[in-house]
Amino acid sequence: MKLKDYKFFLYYKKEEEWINAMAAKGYNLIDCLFFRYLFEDGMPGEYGYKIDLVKASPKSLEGRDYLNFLSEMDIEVVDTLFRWVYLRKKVADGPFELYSDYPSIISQHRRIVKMIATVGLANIVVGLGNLSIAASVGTGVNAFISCINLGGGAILALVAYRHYKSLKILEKESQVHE
Amino acid sequence: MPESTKRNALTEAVFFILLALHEPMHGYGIMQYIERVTDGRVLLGAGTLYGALNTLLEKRWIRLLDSEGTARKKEYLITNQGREVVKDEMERLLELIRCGRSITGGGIDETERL
Repeated sequence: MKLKDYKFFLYYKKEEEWINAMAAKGYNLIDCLFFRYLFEDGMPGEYGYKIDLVKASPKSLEGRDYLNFLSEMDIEVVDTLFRWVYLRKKVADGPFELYSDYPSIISQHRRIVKMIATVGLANIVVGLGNLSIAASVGTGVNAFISCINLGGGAILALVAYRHYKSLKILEKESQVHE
Repeated sequence: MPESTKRNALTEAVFFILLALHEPMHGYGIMQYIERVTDGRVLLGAGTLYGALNTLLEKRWIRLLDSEGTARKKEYLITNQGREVVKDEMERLLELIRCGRSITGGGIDETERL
């Protein structure tokens, strides 16, 4: 049996926790598109899930090489969304970690901060553009779109800042420990 | 940017990967080897291993073994340059132990065997 659910997450770690909590109850994620998640019935606790932001698009040569490597590690690609990939591994096949040392964890955090900040900035730029059109022409549609863009941009800026703070803590820690 | 001739400390992950590749091994084998020799203390993440292997290939400290086209998994092996890097790192680690022992006056018995 399949189960469809709709959720919205600002932080991918929260999303990952929720997907793992579903897997623990026997609902295994098989498909994901923005806020829509599709699960199928399975054994409770059979899979562990991870979400990764990969360096290159999963469709590019470099991206495919990474995903092939993961499959050699018994890690299955459940779905991809732009550069986000949803991965799972059978719990019985051993521990499931993607990044285990400071250089690789920091590098992944930098990718996430950069991506969220870029999308946030793009929203703010488009929002300001629409605001200026609304101010000069006086259309309500532009004003409405502008509000959505500026609001979205502000939220993404906060999310990027929170990840940035985590990144700085990791960088400090890496100066002392390996 | 040209690589400095001065060798910096290796990360624990890189050191163990180079040790593992004294015999041909694929990614999953490397991960299992490291877990085994460290009694489960070092668990290498798949993404970390992938990045490290690519960096080591670029530096030519390891090489990819030619597969006959039948092997699904890529196999790697350390190069002579990589072996030299491991020796240098062991020298560096010994120096750390010597300094530590000379100041604290103690140490771990196992280091006597190094």
